[in-house]
Amino acid sequence: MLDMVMNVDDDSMVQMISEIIMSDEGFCDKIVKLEDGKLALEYFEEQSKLPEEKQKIPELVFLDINMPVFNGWDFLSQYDKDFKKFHGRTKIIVLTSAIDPETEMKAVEHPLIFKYITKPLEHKHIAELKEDPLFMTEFNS
Amino acid sequence: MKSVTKIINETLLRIKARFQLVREIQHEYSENLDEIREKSYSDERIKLIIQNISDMVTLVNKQGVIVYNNKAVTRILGYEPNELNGKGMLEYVHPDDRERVGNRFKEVLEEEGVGKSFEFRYLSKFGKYVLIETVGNIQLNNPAFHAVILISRDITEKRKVEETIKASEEKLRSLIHHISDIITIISVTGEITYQSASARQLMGYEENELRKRNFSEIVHPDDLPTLLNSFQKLIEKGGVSELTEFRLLNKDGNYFYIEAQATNQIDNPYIKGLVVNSRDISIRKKAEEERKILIKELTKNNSDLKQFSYIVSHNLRAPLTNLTSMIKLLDYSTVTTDRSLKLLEGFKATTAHLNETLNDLIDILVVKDNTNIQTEILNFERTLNKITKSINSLLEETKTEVTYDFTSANFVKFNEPYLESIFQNLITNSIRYRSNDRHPEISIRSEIQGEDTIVTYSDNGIGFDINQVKDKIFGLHQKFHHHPESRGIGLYLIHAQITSLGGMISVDSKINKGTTFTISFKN
Repeated sequence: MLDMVMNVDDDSMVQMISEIIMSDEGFCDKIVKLEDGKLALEYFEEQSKLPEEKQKIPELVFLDINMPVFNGWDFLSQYDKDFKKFHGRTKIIVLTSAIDPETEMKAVEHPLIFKYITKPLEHKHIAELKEDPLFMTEFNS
Repeated sequence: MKSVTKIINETLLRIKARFQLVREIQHEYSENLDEIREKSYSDERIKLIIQNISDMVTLVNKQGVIVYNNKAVTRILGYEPNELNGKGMLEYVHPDDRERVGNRFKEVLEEEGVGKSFEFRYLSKFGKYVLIETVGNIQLNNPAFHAVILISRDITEKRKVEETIKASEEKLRSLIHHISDIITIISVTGEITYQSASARQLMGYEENELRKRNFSEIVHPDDLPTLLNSFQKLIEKGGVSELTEFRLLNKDGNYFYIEAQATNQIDNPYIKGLVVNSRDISIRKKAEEERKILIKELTKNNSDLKQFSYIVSHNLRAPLTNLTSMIKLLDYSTVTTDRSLKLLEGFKATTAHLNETLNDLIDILVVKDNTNIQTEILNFERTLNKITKSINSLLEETKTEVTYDFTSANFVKFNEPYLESIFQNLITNSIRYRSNDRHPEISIRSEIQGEDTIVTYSDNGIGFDINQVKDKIFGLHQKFHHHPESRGIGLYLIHAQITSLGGMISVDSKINKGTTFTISFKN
């Protein structure tokens, strides 16, 4: 089981659904739910001020793209610049309902994006992640 | 009335007489004798020359009576040399010219020596008038002549040539005058040496008003460097320039667009410059500008609309996916009343329907928007089998039989998801519109026709009246049956997928016999 997953989405229904599915799958211990990219950045900002042993950095971030004010792309460019030290510890999955090919292309080619999932999030997505070599060890015990 | 011959003969006789006398009297001065003999020969020579020169020599006395004609009169007018002797000269002048010639004759009688040339028509022996140019030499007081010497020549041919030249010049001038193009001649220094009258209509300048001005004065400054460059090139290399567009200043001080082409005629002694043929293209230019703006606007509108449809479909899709997820996550066993269960079932079905419709619309949006679609060599048989496998339960349930023959052409260059979509939509369509009287039968075959691969797809379904739906069948939301599952999108989608890759699809159908689709893939 992962320690912590961050879910960045302005849609509270999506937050709810993701929480249910991850809980069904026993995917993580804690979910940090944030409404937009700005709040997500602030979270990382705060953590970076803490001494390393007290930092709570999510192993996985589900990031929506279409969010008001500060969208997924804004978050990514800022995160890329300011929080290089977390890049190795955190994987980012784009979870979006966008259907235009350009968004998908951009996401697939983005070096910081680990995966691109079109909404809705389903049990099978989480099941696949549990099988992924990156997280496998967390679920074998 | 004495003819010139007589005059000359008499003169000669007198000279001879004098010579006789001198000989008798001055017998001893034999050297003088030789001198006089010499003079006599000389006179004879002059006489011969006059007789035989090609110009007509006529002597006319004070009263206008002809006294002598040389041999040329025969060649020019047909008369014998002495035939006209004693006739009034005016009788033979064309009636229309007679007064003029008569007056002229009276005038010249007062003068002395060579007069100016004048022209008139002279009646020939054959009844035709011959155009004559004559120079008179008044020798009335010369005792040797006492006559007017007229030297004349036939100028009919000369006049004809002159008139032809004049006519062709006039024709050319008139052509240039009335042509809508402007013809300009520019010297090597850039000075305008000629400009046709059409410049007035187009530019407001009178014919040749721009003469002596440098062409660079009336060219738009922004266009000038390019123009000077090609001007220089044309002077150096000769020949004909490219068709060039530039702006010229008209008399009102406004610039307008012309299209011009120049020919190097520097070596032509009559032109000594570049002949520029220019044409007003401001109307065309304006239309081009308008079209550019229109295209820009349309492109923007189109892009806005596209953006709009993505936003709309996204905004619809986001809550819809939530609904779908929630229905899936819902545990029906915990619902206690039948009423609630029924409502939940309805909620589920409606959501599914809405989801399908939206997905279809999104598919179309993606096909319509995607201008760069990946193609690869595909295997018809493999793709078809993939589809039949995925809808195997549907095929079994409806006892649908799919047969195919791809032996003539099993490969096509196309987009894989599109080809899958085509097979899937056609097959599900055939099943949806199957006849209740027979099991559905579908046959698919392919062949090469010229450069294209043709796939013919037929079923034995209920068909439709082709005449009623011909133009609409591949349109959006065109449903031809009151079938509950019909959403009117499948054919529109495959039509879009085929045509986006340069192919074509056509349909034929007979009610209660079946439907045939013919797809032509461009290779």
